[in-house]
Amino acid sequence: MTRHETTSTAWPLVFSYNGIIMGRGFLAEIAMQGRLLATPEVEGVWLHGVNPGALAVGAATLSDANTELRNTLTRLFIDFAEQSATFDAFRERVITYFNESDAQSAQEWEEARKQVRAGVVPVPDGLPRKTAETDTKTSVQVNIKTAEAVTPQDNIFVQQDTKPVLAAAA
Amino acid sequence: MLTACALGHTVQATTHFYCIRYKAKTYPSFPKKRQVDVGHVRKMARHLEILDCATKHLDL
Repeated sequence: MTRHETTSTAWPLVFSYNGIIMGRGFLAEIAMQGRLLATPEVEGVWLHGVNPGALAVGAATLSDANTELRNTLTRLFIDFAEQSATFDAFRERVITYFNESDAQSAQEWEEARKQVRAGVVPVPDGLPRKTAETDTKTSVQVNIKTAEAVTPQDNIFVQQDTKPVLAAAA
Repeated sequence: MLTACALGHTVQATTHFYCIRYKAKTYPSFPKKRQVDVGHVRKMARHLEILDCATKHLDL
């Protein structure tokens, strides 16, 4: 994606991320639900982070963006693990990252949701719709996982095998 | 652009990204690619609260 011509359409999305990151002597289980503002562009779509705010993902389609979002977050959490001597340091890093945002992005997300609810902006094709406030609330949990608690289901062989993480907030 | 708009910023290369810090804000996921899409630059500049200055130096 190299073109940057944007339209006024913006989709308020929520995403979920669930994964296990191996750190220095620990396994960390991350579960988060965050908010993104998606904007269609001539050659694809951009996802702009609201919570976390320091995040941007560009891809040709929303489906590709879904995969790229997960890959980007996983790479980032591996970086955090490399920089963290302990689980507590890692946990604090992830939570601080998730909560760092800005008021303007949050306001734009709320405005975009109003547009979707008013029927001005349609929900993107292929995305589930989340309407309840509880379904669109942000949350982050980072828990230590013991080796005994690890199961074969914790393995992720192919990123595309993971559940869709994006949904439209409406 | 960062030199002009974010005096005192730091850039740290991690395994996968550049981590850019300025004042109290951190942008830890700036791509390492040689050609970075403007979307990443725009988001980083907004997050670090230097977007107005950045748009004067770059075509954002």
